[in-house]
Amino acid sequence: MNRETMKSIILVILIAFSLVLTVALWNYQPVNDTIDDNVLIGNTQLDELGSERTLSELIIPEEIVFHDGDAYYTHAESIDNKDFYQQQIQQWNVTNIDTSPGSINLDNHHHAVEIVFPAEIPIQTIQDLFVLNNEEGLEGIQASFDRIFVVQQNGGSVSSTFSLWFVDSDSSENRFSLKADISTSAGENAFRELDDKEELKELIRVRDTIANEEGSNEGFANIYLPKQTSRIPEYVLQTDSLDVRPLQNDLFPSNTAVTSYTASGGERVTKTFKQQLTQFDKRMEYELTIPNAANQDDLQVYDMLNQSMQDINSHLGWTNDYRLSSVLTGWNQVQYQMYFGDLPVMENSETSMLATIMMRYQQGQIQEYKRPLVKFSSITSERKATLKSGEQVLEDLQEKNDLDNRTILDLEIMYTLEEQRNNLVFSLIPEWYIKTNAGWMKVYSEEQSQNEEIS
Amino acid sequence: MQWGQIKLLFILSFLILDLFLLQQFLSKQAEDELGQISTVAESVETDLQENDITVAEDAIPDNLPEASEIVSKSNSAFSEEIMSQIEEIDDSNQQIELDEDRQVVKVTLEEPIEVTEDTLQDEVDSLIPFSSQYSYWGWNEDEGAAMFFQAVDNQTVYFNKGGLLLVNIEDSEITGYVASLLSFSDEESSMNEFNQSDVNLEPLNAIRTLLENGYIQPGDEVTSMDIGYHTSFDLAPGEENGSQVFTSTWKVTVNGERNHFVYALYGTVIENIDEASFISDIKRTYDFENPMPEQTSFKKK
Repeated sequence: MNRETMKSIILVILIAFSLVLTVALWNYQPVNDTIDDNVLIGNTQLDELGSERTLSELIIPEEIVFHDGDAYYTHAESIDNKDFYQQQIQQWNVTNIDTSPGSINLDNHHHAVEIVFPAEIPIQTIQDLFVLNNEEGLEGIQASFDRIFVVQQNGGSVSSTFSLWFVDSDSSENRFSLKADISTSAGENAFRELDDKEELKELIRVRDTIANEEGSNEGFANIYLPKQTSRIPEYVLQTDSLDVRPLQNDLFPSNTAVTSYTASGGERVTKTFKQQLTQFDKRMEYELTIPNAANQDDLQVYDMLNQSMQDINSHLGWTNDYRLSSVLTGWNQVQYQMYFGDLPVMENSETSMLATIMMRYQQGQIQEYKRPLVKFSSITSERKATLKSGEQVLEDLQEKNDLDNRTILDLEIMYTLEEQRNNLVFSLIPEWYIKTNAGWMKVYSEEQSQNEEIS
Repeated sequence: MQWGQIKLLFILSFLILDLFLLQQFLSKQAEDELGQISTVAESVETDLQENDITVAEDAIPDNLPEASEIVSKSNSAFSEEIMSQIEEIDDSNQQIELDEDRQVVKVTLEEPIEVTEDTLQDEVDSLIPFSSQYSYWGWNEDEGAAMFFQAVDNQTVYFNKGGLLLVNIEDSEITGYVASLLSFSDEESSMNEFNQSDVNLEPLNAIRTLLENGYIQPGDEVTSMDIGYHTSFDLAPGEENGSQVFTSTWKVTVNGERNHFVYALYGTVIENIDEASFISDIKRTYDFENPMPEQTSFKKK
């Protein structure tokens, strides 16, 4: 082979190599080890036993009162109140939102509808409760409300308008959080409920019976009681226990070491280096330690409400009819209470935390989460208890000298959840409860049962 | 020009082109391998420079262990080996007490031993037969105690009541000590499933976390860094008889005077460690003036 042939071969090789390198450089893709995020962490949902909720399903008024002059009415069946709320009120198209509305005097309005919520709700929630065309202007407002008044504005013009007044009844300043309008037909429909008094039951206003020394008549924190005796079904409940594993999978990060042991009290403790889930017989407590105060920005109340709803939704944690019962802003705490047959369920010392879901937040994370690990369902409701009339209860309360009338914050018929030791079921007993500064307690102690008759 | 000369010229130019392309290709490959890590490191370095924060040359340990989480056993009683060592302690001038679950030993010296900073380690070694299980943390003269933390695979378990040797020192004299030991599973395999072996510990990230959260101020110097273990759920020995999960934790010493702790895998700063209250808590629990309450005294056979 002569020299020229060698040169030709080398040239061809070099040209080929340059082509190969060009192509390689052109098409180079880094080989990345993709971290497998989909580590199998098991089921994170309480399938079948639980479900999801929206805020509008969790925030439900405890009372809807129709004002007819000096008389007050509500739906005779409490289920009708819920239907009225969901089928009418939540469909209202809310317009003309005014966040600094001035004030109203209810005495000037013969008719009004009063919607009473069990907790103080941040004003931003109205975008979940009603149909809003324009949600602007609500962000950043600190106001809250616990009552809504629907009144007819008689402007003297051709068609009268109906207004919603959102009221924070406990507050002395900034009592009127917001005013908005609804359509005439919606307002007329709501007021038409008063036409058929057969479907309604009469209420008495506590303020009219017990003279309040301090708070003159302008107060909005009114308590209404049924004038007549009430017949409320008693229930016997059975329980389905919830598997704690899905909750644990949902709450604990997937790639962290977990240990568990049985503590001296018999409860099962599962934990990581910063989280602990304690499983008791019928309930659980979860706790997260955030070892610093680096991020002081706590969630806004509305965001906290939303967050707690989403956090529970993520494991389908709504196992019974839970409804918002309190929002403690300073504590960053949200509490949901179980309802049965549209009445709130109270716990006694034995059934503590079996009808309550409590969540507390810190730095946007769940810091504490307590909930029952049982789902209740009724077996029978044959018996109906007759509870004393509102008038009778007030009379009895006035006779009791130990109770200062001014401290009555609320009076309500609620269920007491009692555990029946022998046959592993629970019963729901309707009873009169009174709320004072010391919290809720029974109006009638155990021995003097208020059940006049049981049929 | 001759055809042969032209060929030579082409050969030379293609050789140069090939070398250039090869160099390009290799540098691209190397860049991707270092990838984001190096860019993160660089950006942290510029962050630190901008904030006038220096990292001492030997501050970052050379051989970094892998980040991991370890689980202590539910019942951390002393092992047979430690028990036999405790039994061998000369009790002629020492009062030895052991709690019921054999998880804590408290020794009171009848004749206190004088000690200085220099002789402390030697005195402790001669007093406590299993002192090699611990690494020296520090002597808090205000609280009157020197602390030694248990070490697992040469990594310190920071501030845990279950793995602690607290030497009570009054007026520069050792009057006694209290010791506990966490037990960890001997089988490495049981921990391996939690080992985040792919996760590299990035010391600079820990420094950046401290900087971002205002724990390090401009002008500060990071004088040393160490990796150990910590848990936010500190159980006292015997409490619930529970096990604990420990996770890799950076100890960052700033200006040689204060320590910050950062969970290495999660970048969470641990703020709620207070040495003084930790010591006084333990001193209160194992009252050094009186014998331990409700403890069965251990007597040498």
